[in-house]
Amino acid sequence: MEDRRKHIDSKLAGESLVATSIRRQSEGAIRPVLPDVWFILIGGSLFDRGRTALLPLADRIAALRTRHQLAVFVGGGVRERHTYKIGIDLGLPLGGLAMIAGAIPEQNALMIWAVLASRGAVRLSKEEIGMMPVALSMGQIPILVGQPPYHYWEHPSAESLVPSHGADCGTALLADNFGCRCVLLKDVDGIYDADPALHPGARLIRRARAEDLLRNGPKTLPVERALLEIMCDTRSLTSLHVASGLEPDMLERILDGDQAGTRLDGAHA
Amino acid sequence: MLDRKLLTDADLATLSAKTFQRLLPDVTVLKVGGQSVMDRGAEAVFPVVEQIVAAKGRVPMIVCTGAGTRARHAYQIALDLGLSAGILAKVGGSVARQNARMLQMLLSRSGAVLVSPEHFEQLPAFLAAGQLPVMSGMPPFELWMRPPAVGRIPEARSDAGVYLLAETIGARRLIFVKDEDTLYDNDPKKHPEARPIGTGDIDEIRKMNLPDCLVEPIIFDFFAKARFVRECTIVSALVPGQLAAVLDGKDVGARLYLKA
Repeated sequence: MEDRRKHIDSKLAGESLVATSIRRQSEGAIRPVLPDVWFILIGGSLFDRGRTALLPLADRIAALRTRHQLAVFVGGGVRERHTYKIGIDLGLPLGGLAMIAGAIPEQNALMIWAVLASRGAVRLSKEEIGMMPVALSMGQIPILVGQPPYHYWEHPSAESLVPSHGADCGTALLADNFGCRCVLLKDVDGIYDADPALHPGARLIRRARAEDLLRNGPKTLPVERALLEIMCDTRSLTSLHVASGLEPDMLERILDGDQAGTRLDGAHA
Repeated sequence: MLDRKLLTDADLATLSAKTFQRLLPDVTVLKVGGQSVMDRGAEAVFPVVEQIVAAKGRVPMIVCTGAGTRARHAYQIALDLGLSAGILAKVGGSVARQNARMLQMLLSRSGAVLVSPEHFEQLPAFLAAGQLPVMSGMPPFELWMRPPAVGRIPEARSDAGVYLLAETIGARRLIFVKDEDTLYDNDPKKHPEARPIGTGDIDEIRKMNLPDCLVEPIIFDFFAKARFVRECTIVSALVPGQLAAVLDGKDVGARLYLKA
């Protein structure tokens, strides 16, 4: 049959892009867009603790900026969860919840920007991400929202009434697509083999594999479940770090190449 | 004072929903294929436009577009440069927007309005005013695209984006306008012996492990987790009157559904 589609000649012309053979051919080494840049997520739980958590962390981030390239991402926290609670009660769609929750990390981003403004913080919206290399080269500290812009297009979920892609996923996805490194700061030291809030004997896992946690991990984790799924496929960000933002020394050790908290390995690590 | 016990993830996990709201329950979401329809030019696009114009007064709908051959060309260059799925996704998005602009112009006389993801909340007003929203089908994930299991071509492209839009608004129907009116067990354009699947159960289709597929298979994962959109219909732009018939509620093309 004559093909009456008006193709531009390329290896992908006429392909559905679904065939396994074509997808395999598209594998290959990835060029990092921003190599050697650290994406640091300040989890929403740290914002909920106010100055005792945020001021020492902000001081350390400003100090580390003098010898590392870094950008700060922020999460939501309890106001985000409250948004979800009300939204679930109202029966709003998952995508609707994802959209309205975005206002909360915006608040947190503004607050940490204000704390760090005199030390070179610059607030970048997602439309301004192209400016990140300029900000970094000027010694500035870009501040971004961690949540990815899935918004009304959030994936459906059979298990959860809460959107799957939160700040952990967003920070890691951007780091993977840009070839950056990634630290997720929480109010716990890392990933434990059981919920440390309920089990005093729970032990910190120094090095965890995303696949193992998906299969046999504890029910409550300090990171989003979808992050573990994503880490099974990341090609550039083959591992990331989960540590406590309450102990800024941990962040410094990780950026300096030492072990602290949990190193979470993806399937391509 | 700020340290007191706050609402936790575990608290949220205990909640259950009393109801699920459908935002736009009367609306049909229609996707016009990029490579399959737009890239054929007038011979395929004009009949689609005519059928949309004719049905518009009776069927409130949102028209979305795929990308097509220009996206494939750009993907090939991006892959050659070693760029990631997130960059490919953003590159492909531009082509779907071009196609949305083309359709919007062709549908202008029918009150077509181009709607970007940022203006999602204006959809109800446009529809209530009898206008015809036209959108790019691509989801806004772009630089936040999830890495595919295999390769670097994004798995969630315009079929996925259109599916997610329909699910979020709780749409009445989801229709894909392609250049075939059924899935086949392989790409019929390269394998003339490929057999049509026709109307069928999505669970059965997934078990067939198709080597190639007319729609992005990621939508089958979405169907299984959905609150509302658990079926879609595939019609061909090349079969005269088929789109008009499906918009009138006739059983044409292939219906892919999930058993309740």
